[in-house]
Amino acid sequence: MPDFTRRSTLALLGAAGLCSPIHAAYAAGSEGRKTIFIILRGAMDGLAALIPDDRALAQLRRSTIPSVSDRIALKNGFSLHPSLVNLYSLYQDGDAGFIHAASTPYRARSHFDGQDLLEALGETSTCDGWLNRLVQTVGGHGLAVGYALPLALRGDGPATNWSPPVFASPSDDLLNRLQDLYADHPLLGDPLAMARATPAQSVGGTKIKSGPAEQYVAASQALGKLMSAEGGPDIGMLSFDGWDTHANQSGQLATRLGGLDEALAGLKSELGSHWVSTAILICSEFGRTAAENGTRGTDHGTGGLMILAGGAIRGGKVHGDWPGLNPRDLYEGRDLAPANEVTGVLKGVLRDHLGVSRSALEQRVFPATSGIMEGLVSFE
Amino acid sequence: MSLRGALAVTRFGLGARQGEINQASRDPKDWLAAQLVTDAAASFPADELMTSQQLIATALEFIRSTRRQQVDEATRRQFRQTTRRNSVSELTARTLLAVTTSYPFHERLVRFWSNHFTVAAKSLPTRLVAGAYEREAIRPNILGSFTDLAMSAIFHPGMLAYLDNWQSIGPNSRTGRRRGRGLNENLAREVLELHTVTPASEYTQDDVAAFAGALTGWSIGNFRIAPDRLGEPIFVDHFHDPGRKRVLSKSYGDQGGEQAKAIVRDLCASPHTANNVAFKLARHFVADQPSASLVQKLSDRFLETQGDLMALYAALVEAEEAWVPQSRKFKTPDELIVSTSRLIGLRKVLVGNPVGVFESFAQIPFTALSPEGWPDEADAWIGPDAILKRIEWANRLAERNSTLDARDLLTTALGERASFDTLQAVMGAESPSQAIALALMSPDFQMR
Repeated sequence: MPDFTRRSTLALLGAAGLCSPIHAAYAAGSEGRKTIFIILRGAMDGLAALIPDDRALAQLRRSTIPSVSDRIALKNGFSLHPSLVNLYSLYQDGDAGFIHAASTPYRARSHFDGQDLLEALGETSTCDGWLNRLVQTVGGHGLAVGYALPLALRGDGPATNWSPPVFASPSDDLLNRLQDLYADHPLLGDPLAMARATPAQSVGGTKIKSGPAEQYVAASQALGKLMSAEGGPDIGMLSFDGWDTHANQSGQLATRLGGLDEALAGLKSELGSHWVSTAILICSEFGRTAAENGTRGTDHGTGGLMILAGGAIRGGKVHGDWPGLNPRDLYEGRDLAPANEVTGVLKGVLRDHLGVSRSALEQRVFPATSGIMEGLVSFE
Repeated sequence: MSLRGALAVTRFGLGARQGEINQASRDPKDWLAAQLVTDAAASFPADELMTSQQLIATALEFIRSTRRQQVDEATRRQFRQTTRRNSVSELTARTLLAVTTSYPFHERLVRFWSNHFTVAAKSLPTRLVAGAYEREAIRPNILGSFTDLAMSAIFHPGMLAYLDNWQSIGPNSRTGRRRGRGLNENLAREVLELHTVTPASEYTQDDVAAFAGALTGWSIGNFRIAPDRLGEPIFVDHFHDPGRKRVLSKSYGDQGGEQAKAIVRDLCASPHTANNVAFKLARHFVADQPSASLVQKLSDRFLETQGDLMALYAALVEAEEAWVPQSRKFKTPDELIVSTSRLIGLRKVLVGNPVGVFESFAQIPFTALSPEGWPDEADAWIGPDAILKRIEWANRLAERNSTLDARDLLTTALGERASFDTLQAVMGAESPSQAIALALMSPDFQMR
């Protein structure tokens, strides 16, 4: 495949009629600052990842939470799951922080509706994602690593996805002919034009391996490579599946947290010198029940955990409010209560990281939202 | 050949085999109706496949042996081989049937319902049992009533394991009080949300918890409980949460295992379920955003007939909305693989490891990522990367089969659905293999 430069990519997107007007004026100078959104699908058990030193925890009979001696103490009222060693070292360097009890406005407990809402945020339509609206607002283009283009990146702004090649590349002639044949087709034309615009640098042609942890790591490395390449996208997204731990949670969660932890280390090493100007935003559609269920797992809940990482993040800290785990503090008597708004966190990071005004964020990216969290980005 | 014949074969069927559009063109509606017979259900070559009971028993025995003592590598390898061979056999048998069947409408419906009531590979034992579940719970029940289909799906050991109900224990049951174990609400929530009434019915967390309580006790024979019924569906009295349960404003007396069944029956009869099924059926066959009038027709027929599925299919085939000439459904990878195989032969398509092709397109049957099943909308399958992978694949197939005549392929595959642009592109190709690649990747073949 030809090696498209940033300029020819944009030209091609424009030629294919894909570019809605790009309002880069809102974020002059954000170019080269990297933003990565990682969605943990299935609802991560935040209480087992960032464990509060809360006496009420004992009442909840959580055999699924690592014992005190195994935890990594942060000495601020919280400890980390033992699988999160790389995240701990990022935290110590001030490059990772947390927001516990975070939630979108969604209060039912369906994964599918919850994920749609987290990816659309502020829009009711499910064909328009907030990350795509961010692309439209700050300029450039968005990239997801994975077979499907996730909802958060779908919309009028230029966005594409990439996964490792399986078959040999067809000739440009065949691609040109198909592009002609698709010219007036409502569904097929745009994706092909987008695909041809994806920079296919040497990301490694190996297939992504089968285990969840290996998939997370391989996808992260590929995204890091693509984003740090010359003219690579500034906005990226990953989807990590498999967090719905209803039964026998401990082992499954340890594997996935370990994979996430390694994925972050992989992103840091692939992003190299870009790391200092990178913000990684990680969250699930919602959290899980505070107490354990009958099958050594947890059911769908409400307040979840957001993880922020990257050199641009003001880390070494658990930001926001902590609602507590006493029975009267729990949402509907069962879930960690929603104390911090996901959109407030996203806006707080994006405003300071990309220099987009709050009003632009609230008009274009997260309509119908109000709060914003302060102090999430480091200005070194 | 007629346009409607082509639509019957490609939209309602699984893609054309040689001469099929001709056959269907005589009377397209009749051609479809004739496929909805029990012969079709019986045509599955299941002789060499293990039953769900055998598979679960095998898994439970393996799990027990790994807990009891160090299992030597040879035993592990043998277990892996047995189970892998079974998975490959399931996938191959299912695909082979889809590619060769002369009841493709029936087969599409089996797949539709199997996806509606998804059981997918998770951990042991569901990793093994999804194929057997489809053969046992779905396939024999798609020509009866929705309620019977739902009952056989929800209470099948495959579903009880997939959505964790086999380990769910009523907090006030004998076992619950003694061992301090409790509910798992996974099955209750997904039955409400996905299989029947959907969030449109405005069920609450209390409804989910009450229904989950009613479902406790529905489990699977294992070494601790009912070792003589290993792998069979059983009702365990001392797991069942006693007492009345209130679900969607109706109170149900405690009759043990019958309590949950009474709730499921009522859920199946709800107008919300009728809407859910009508919408999903219309979306599957006609368009990602089906017309409200079509959904209404199907929903009305469902309610008038208490969920008689034959009446529902008849309403679909009778509806003019289902025969619009424009094809608005983008084939899923599985549909693309099956229709391509029906066109040029399975062996040309599944070269080497049969799982490989499905894996390349991220849709290995029986491995949907969530209880929602595989997405049925184009958005989920039509990303830039996916379209490029399809082109690469079609290109490779074309290069390996360049002796085929692309114009014949178009006639066989599309009949009167082939557009002028597609014909022109194929005729103008620079080589026979490029012509085949263009035919396979034409919008007309990629859509149905």
